[in-house]
Amino acid sequence: MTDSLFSCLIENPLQCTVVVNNVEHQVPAQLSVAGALLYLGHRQVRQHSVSGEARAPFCHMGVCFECLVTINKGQQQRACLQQVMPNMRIDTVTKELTQ
Amino acid sequence: MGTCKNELLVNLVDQQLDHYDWIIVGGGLVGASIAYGLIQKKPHLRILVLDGEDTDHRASVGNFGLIWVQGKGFDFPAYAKWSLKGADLWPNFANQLSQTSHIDIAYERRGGLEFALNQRHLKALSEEMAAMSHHTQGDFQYTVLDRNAALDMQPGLGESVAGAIYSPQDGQVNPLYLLAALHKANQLLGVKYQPRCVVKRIEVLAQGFDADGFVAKKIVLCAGLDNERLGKQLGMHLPVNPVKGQMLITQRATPGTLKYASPQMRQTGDGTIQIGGSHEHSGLDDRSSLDVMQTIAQEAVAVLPELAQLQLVRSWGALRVMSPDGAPIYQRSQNHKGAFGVCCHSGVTLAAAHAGPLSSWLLDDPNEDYKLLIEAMNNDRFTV
Amino acid sequence: MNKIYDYLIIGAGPAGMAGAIEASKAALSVLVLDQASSAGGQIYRNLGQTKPQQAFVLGNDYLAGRPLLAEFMAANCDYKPQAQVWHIETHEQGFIVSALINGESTTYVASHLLLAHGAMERPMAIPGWHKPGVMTAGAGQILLKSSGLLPKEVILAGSGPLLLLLAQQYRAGGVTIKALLDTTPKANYWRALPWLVAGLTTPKQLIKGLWLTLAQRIKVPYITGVSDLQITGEHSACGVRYTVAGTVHNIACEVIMLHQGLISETQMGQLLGCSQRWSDVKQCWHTQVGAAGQTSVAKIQVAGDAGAVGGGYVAQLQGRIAGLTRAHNAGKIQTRQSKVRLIWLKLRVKQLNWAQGLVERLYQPAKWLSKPSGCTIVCRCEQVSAATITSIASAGCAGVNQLKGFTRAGMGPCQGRQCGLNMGYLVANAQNRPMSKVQPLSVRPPLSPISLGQLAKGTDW
Repeated sequence: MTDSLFSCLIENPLQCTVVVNNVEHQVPAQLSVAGALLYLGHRQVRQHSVSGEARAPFCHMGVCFECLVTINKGQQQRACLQQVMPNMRIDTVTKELTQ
Repeated sequence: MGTCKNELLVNLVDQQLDHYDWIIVGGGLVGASIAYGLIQKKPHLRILVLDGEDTDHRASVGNFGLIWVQGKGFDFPAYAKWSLKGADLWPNFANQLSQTSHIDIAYERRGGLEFALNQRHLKALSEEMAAMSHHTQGDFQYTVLDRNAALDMQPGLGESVAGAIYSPQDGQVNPLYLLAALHKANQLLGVKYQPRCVVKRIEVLAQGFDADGFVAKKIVLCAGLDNERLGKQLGMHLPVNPVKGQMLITQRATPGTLKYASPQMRQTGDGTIQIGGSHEHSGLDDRSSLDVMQTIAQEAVAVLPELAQLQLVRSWGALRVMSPDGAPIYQRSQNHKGAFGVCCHSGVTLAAAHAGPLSSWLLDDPNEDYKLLIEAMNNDRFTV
Repeated sequence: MNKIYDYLIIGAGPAGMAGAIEASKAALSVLVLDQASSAGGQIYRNLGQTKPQQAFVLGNDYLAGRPLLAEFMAANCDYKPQAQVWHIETHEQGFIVSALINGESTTYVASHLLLAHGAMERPMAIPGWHKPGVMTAGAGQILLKSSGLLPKEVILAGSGPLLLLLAQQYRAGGVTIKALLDTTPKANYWRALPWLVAGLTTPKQLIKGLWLTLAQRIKVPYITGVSDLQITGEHSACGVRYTVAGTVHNIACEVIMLHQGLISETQMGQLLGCSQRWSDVKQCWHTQVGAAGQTSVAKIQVAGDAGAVGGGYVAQLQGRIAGLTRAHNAGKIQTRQSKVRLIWLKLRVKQLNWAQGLVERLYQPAKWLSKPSGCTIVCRCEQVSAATITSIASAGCAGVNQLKGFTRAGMGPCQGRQCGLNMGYLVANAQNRPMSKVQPLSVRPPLSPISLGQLAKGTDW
């Protein structure tokens, strides 16, 4: 996690608590999961299963499958298609294959 | 339909009528293995493989990828022996093919398990295995495993699994890479390949055959479901019917999720899990259907519950090329010397046999044992 | 046995909403399944919940969708948001549509279908496009609409109206646009010139478009004639390298948004066996659609960008035509007034599509962008490079489907959506065949992911 490359233009947005990789965060409630990850400064959300390279959300409309993360224990969910919900558990994938 | 008007055709007409020694009609696993066998044995041969359209029914790209001996030909001794010999020829074949093509075809022979979901099923399987062992004079080896023994070999089995059959002689390969490797090796060895050429008409010439303008001394029909139609043109009865098999492929799973290959499921070299397969008689319809996909998924989860959390990436339906008794047909045309028909749904298991003894047989290079086996599988068995 | 709907609509964008409004007005039983959490499609995404700051940045064209959205929300039809359709099959009863809703596979039955699932962005396979930090311009706009997120600084690259619109919106939102790199080939301007006549039939749109183009050229660092575009940076994007008039330039930036127009999504139509056609002008495959939305398969209609990209307004009109036609054919409305309305709507669509010819020619993608080479990743899911694909295509494989088997390109979870078109270009190029002869990748379920457990559980219907 680093400084975010994105900012939210909505003033005083309603906040929502999410748990990303076991750490609690407050994010604007209208964010998509992918949006929340970008907002929190996650530049990558998974490692590619073939090359091991870092990947991040690309199309934000459900067609590219680059933003697959674990949401509330459900594996390989498209982060761009879901809105954050209170106490949602989001886990980014640092290694898809446990060797 | 494809047209075959191309440069090759122009060359043919310009140069000589007798341009090729062999035409192989069909570039699937059967055709490609035979071409590979022929060119290896006689490198000077001029061989042309004619292949169909990109979107034709292709059994080879829907293959499950097992090199499977268990149960093959339990009711047909020649087929049982042939399958076992074919599997035994695989290690050398795989080695040589990988070296020639520089493609890793993910071949392994660590044995295979067939899971039985109840005691009755286990009993039926055991009887088939005993028959096979008898046909092969004990060459076929297997063990009947009860539930605990099966659990030792594959942890995590569902409660309904009653046991399994294990045979050390079974193996697996990536069937798509196998086809790619055969194509590449053939190309490097000088076999000509013409895709998008669905042969409509084969004419018998004084000394050879003319397939839509391509001429050769000898011809082998390896066109899958099209063999019946093309066979008639050469006076051969090649009865084949489509039997649809649907399967599912999941995302990559942790390596070693499945310890052994199985006809119910196998883990590919890429890590994905392939799950199959149905047997449906629905003509040329190869689409996936909801009810069958659901049944396949239910059975898979019953065998190994941890699969439930894996995402399905693809489903697939392919048409098996089935003879009336399920065994291959190796046919020499009685009326037209030099014409052959090969119909076979075990294109992977028998790939080494097709590249080896079968292509020797096509070249009239007799090895009496194999000759007897191969000729036992001609179409006489369908004429009562 | 489930209820059999008279009309099942996939997608709640302008086309789907309009189709649902017209059909439900005629007392047909209508079900709308949409993948998003609220209706509007990509163009009016999140319109119902938009905040004032977002509205200001997004502009009037976005807010213009409000009456349609209100009409849809008031319509007497069933509407399921967050429904991901993963399979459709034909059956004696009609069509069986399986969708994943709240983690459960639910099956619906309908006698007639309207596919209104819209378009996607044309994949722009340049070196490094798979690296973190690179996204599409559409993604940038979606982040703005749904989440109110703006990049702090950005490079926009490619071609097409959406790129210009996003630049306008980002400026209004105070984003630092480090450069807008325009890859539109100069020859396109000449090619499009005769079509100015067509554009003049919609003067308001034309003026808006000209103004949008001019404003960006004046207000942001706007660089034309860009070629050999690539992403720099090892593990994630650090910037871009590009060539203008033989000179190589570099710009540093950690967010890069790419765009080169929209293409129809054809997967659902293909799965259902609807005839597909290659368009040389649009440079994409699309489902063959008649004036009333009819396809080659009986009882299946297509409306909006799912059939051919024509924008939100045309999509809305096409949706109305489809819904009205369905109602007419069902014998639910027979008035002269509605027949006249239908004729008028069809004429209007015809005229607007003709006017669209100007945009299509002006923003036709640059040829070099359809020829990825070397280690440029073509298939992002399976990490297959252009060189691998070209070498197998050159050796004479039958087509993209065989290529898929040999290389795994197109086998990943995106089901070839990001690579299929470029695989086709590479095969056509290597084998010197026209694109119209290179069959697209075959489509198989699932259209969107479903776990084995969800599939096994399923639901009876």
